[in-house]
Amino acid sequence: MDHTVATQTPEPPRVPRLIALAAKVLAMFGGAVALAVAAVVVVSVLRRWLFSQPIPGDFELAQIGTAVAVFAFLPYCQVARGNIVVDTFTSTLPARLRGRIDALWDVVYAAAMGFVAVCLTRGTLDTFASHEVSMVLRIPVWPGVAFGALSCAFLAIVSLATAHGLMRTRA
Amino acid sequence: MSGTWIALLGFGGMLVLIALRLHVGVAMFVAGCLGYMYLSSGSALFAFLKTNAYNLFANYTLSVIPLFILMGALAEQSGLSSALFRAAAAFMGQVRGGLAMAVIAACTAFGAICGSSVATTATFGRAALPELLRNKYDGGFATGTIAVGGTLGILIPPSVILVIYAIMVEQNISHLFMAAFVPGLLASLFYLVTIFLVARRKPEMAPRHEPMARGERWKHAKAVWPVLLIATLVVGGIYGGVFSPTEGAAVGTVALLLIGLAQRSLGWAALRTSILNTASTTAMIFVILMGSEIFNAFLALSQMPMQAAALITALGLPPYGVLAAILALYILLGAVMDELAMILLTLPVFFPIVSALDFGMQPDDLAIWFGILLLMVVGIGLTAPPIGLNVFVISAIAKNVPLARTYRGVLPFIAADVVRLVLVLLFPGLALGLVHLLA
Repeated sequence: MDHTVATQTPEPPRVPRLIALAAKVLAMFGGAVALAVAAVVVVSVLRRWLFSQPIPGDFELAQIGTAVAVFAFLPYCQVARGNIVVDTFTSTLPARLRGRIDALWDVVYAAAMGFVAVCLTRGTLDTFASHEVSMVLRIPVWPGVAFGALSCAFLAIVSLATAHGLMRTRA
Repeated sequence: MSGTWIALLGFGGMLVLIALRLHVGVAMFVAGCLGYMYLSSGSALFAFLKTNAYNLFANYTLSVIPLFILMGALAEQSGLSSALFRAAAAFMGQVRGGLAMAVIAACTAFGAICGSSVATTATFGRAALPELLRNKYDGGFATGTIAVGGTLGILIPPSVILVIYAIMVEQNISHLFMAAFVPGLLASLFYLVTIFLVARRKPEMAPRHEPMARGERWKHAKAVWPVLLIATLVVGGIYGGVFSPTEGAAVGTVALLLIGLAQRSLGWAALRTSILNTASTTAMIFVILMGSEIFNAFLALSQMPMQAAALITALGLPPYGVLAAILALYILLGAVMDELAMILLTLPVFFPIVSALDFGMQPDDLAIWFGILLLMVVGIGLTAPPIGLNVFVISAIAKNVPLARTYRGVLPFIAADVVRLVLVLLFPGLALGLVHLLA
């Protein structure tokens, strides 16, 4: 379900090469984590099946791994413009105006994700202070939340970069 | 201002933002945050968001989504879709309209490892469309068939939409997958019949194909054993309760990866593309989920969904009438809105209403049956004008077939969709039978 609706901006806006590269590397890292999650789950299923002894806390590893992978995927989606835009009424607008509107919304997206990053930073501090750990393996929760905060902060930067790119290409 | 009015204002504001090209997920997030703050306080919102995004992403049930997407991407990149199409074409090619039927058959098999309709459409657009056009199939008929075949990606379990529905209404995902099985097979059967009828009425649209030598046929059939084996393993394992959907997706992903590497059909470039496509698609879904979390928290605070349900129940309308009206509304919404966002937005309001209706069945059965009806309506929305996502996807691939021709090609299939919808509406057993049998 990659909703690259045909009426979207045909080419992703230009962003500084370093930002695009970082987003891509981060996404590949997320993919590696997702594959690792799959491998752990498969080994656990095999062990359960062969020795009736699954990996203890396998679902906790899957949870943490999924959270890390998804957070790592977010910035790349913005660079590649994978987010959905419904283009019902604005398709008749001139391309330049549409670009300006999209740039504005990218700034709004940056603000929203910046806010989420701030909230998650607070969440990191709280889970660190309270020594919150997972139930079976007793893995601390805070590093995952911290990774989420960092990733959302980077996503905010990426969105500002795409907004800037949109303003430049359409100007 | 009462909560209901605030909720309606939130809905309206959000729809305006979406119409002005704001991402659906961000629109829900912004409207949800403002509404939540108004009904409670800024510090309550802050407390809600402190760990909400993390807890949402670290949800075991949701972990099935990136894995299913990765599985589909790996299958696509290792060329299994074209292998499936070639094998189906080898056996069905000599019938009139056989190549179009082969698309449906291949999509049915592919749907059992891919949970996304857009991915299915795109992969068969590349794998099968050139072949159909080379054999002088009518352009609109060919693209229409592939757009419709793509919906089998979600109609045949596993399907991302069903996972999200299951989580929202707190139902067992495996049960929903079971319930989708018979209606999904009915969909492919009806599409095959539609192709047969179209090809008979307008033979010029679907020419005959050279029959293939027997040895040639079996060579093609042999090439698809991995995908058939994995599909059986994943779907069968989930149905048989051998493993959870997440485990099934993990097994499928690892199996596809190993087979792809062993057969050298999956190189570094293909693996990289699979991961990047997975990243983009997954992130898109989770941004919408993140927005819907806060928007639905806001709706719950406003108590609007409960009041709407109470109002409808008090009116004492006939249950089937209400259900039909809701489904009709979904078809209309699906024509102008993204399907996933549509479900996430409306379900908190509509599900309590549907739950309050009396169809003389258990609450769990009702929830599962409604989920399957919803899935079929979503399938129609993916191909129906004016915004059928699948039609856009195939149009982007088939540059020389105009959009309007594709829509015309889709029409007979939509008639088949409506017949199937009515059948499952009248005979809930088509969906629930397998659940009762297996669960």
